Amino acid sequence: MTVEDTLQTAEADRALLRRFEPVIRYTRGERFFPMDVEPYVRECSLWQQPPDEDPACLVPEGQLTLEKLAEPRAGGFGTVHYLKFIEPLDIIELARYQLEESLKRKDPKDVFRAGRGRLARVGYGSRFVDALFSVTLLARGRVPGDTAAAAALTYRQMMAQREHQCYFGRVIRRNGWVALQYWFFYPFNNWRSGFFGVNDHEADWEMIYLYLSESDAGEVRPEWAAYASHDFSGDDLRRRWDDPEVEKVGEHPVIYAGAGSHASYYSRGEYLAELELPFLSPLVRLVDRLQDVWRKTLRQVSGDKRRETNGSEFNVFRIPFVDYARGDGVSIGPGQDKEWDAPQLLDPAPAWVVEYRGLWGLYARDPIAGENAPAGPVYNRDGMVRRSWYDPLGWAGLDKLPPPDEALAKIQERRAELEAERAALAQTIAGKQHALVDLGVEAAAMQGRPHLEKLHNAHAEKISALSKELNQLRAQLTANDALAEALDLYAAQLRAGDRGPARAHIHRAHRPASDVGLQLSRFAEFWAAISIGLMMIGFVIMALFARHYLLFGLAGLISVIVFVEAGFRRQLPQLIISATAGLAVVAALVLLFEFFWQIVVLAVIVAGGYIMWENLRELRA
Amino acid sequence: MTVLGLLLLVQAAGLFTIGTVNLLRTSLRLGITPETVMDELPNAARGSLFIALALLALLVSSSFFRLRPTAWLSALLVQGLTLFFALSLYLRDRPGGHPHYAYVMMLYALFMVIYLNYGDVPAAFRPKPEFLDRGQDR
Repeated sequence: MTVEDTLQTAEADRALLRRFEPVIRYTRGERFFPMDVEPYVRECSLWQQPPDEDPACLVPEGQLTLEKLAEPRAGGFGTVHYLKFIEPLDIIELARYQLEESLKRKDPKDVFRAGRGRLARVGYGSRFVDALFSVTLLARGRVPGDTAAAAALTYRQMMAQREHQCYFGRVIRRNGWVALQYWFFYPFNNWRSGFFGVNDHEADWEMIYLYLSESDAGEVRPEWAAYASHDFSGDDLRRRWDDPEVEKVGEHPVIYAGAGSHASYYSRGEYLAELELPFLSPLVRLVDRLQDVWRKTLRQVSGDKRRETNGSEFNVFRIPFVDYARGDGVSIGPGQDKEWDAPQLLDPAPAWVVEYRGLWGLYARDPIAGENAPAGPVYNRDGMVRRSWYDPLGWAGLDKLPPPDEALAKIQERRAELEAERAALAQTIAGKQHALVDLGVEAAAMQGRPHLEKLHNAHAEKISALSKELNQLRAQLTANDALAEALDLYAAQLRAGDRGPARAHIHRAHRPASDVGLQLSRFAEFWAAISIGLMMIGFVIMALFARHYLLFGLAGLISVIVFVEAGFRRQLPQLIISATAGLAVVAALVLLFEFFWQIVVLAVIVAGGYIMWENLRELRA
Repeated sequence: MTVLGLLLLVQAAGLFTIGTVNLLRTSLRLGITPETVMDELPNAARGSLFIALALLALLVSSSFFRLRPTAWLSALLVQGLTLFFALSLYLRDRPGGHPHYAYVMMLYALFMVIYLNYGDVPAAFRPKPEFLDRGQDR
């Protein structure tokens, strides 16, 4: 390929990325937007953290460039290279910024209001575990509290020098598909400090894919979109272009970005994300198993159906967080508040993309990893290549599908293969059938001839083996016929322009919290905020002044609080179901404890009686 | 539904009997004095509670016969209350021996809870959805 060809391809790729570039809608109060990496890196210093040693600065702030970042660097096992975007702050500068921010008359699109709090949407167990999680932040590594404000200040200064919104893109042609990969780089993720979320970290890389089919004439048509999101993978990430969930502005798909987290969603709304703490994992598994036994083995009604719509059932030991993707703030994209700059191609991948395997922001040494910055577009935090980079189709489960234009040809091809298999199978069956009949006739002829006993036995074995083999071949033939029929029907369906249900491939989908779930009064929210504290204060008062009745008192206190809340949340039915189920379990355990041997004896008697009854019934019949 | 109604009727009769026995035990003690009246109060309260629960079970049983939509939840509530009283009796009187009818109450309510939650029984009383969710996620 000549230089001219390369330039032409790059220009064509850039035009393709431009044609389908997404529109991103943010939530009010969002501080950070997709930017170029060059000014960011210029503001950073580069560090190396060897295990069990103090971190060492390799390149100080102001001297780092993309070229320097790409220089090869050795390190022992466990060494982490990372950038540091925000240096310890000048307190006067920060105070001035905070004062300016508080005095500034803010654009309504700049102000975030949490609305119905996440705690009001979940139960007491989750609230208690949430309090525990907040406490763990004191112990584990985290991004310091003033970092988000300092990052916002630095971001503002960078934008003052050159305001821009940009993305990075890649065009990959594989298996007949044209995959457009869009990468968005944010200097900071302030989900925790700005929007009551799980974490804060420096640098944030977000990504989506669009999958196009290409006709022989070179015309492209979008077929699928896949947005990277929390805890989803494979088929669940992907939406068909004609799925109503994929909102579009002309040919541009719309992304609703989570406030602070920048996670991508198809629909506007407030998403309940759940965090599982590593040390609570055994309890999470236990509750999941108990729920499984309750629903599937005992076929009992689940007490809480609210969260099943999100694919996984509610678990008290997972911490709930709301990802606000309201789309009521700034919008970036063609014809929006702000437009994209020209895309920057990642193909061929620049040196800073492939050579730098470290983190793009502070390494906070958080064992849960949430507060550590992410690595770049190619790598995971551990330095291994991301699947979304090396396997663009498999990442979204598209590697099993041909582009629609090729689907009919693929069906015909498979149909022809099946036909050939069928003919071969039919021939084999006919031959074996013939041999079986021969053996059968010979075996029948040997009956009543004692001197042929050994030969007869050998025949019997051969007949048995051949019958079994024939049975398997016929079953295979029948299955092939059924498959061929299904392929014919599918081909007819495609010819009629029917591609089948758009969402049949989705097993688990993220859905925003329903309006019904959000219809909580201000009192419900207030109650959610104070209830756990109230319970703890009540417990202390009882422990001090009524120690003899502590157990009963605590049970009473919890009951009253739970009852009050269930009342105004209109969840009294669920409460009755859950409480009764709990009492039934306790009663069963009490009975088992008090009457263990009697229960064993009774069970044996009942089993004996049942067997007797069944046998007698058979005799009568 | 008729079977559940009959079972609740039997439960109501049982609870009424227990309540009456508790109340009679109190009123038949002729030697009650101002000093011992506090000792007799729990029996009287217990008896009254059981009779109230029996009346509730009776009402719920009638709602089962009339196929009221709230019957299932009310029946579950009766079982919850029965279990709560039975477990209270069990825990309160331990280890000095507790009334044997507490075990019978537990066993009967346990059976009823399982029966009420089994298979299609709850579905028969669940309100029909007013609207269908968009899309097909599964």
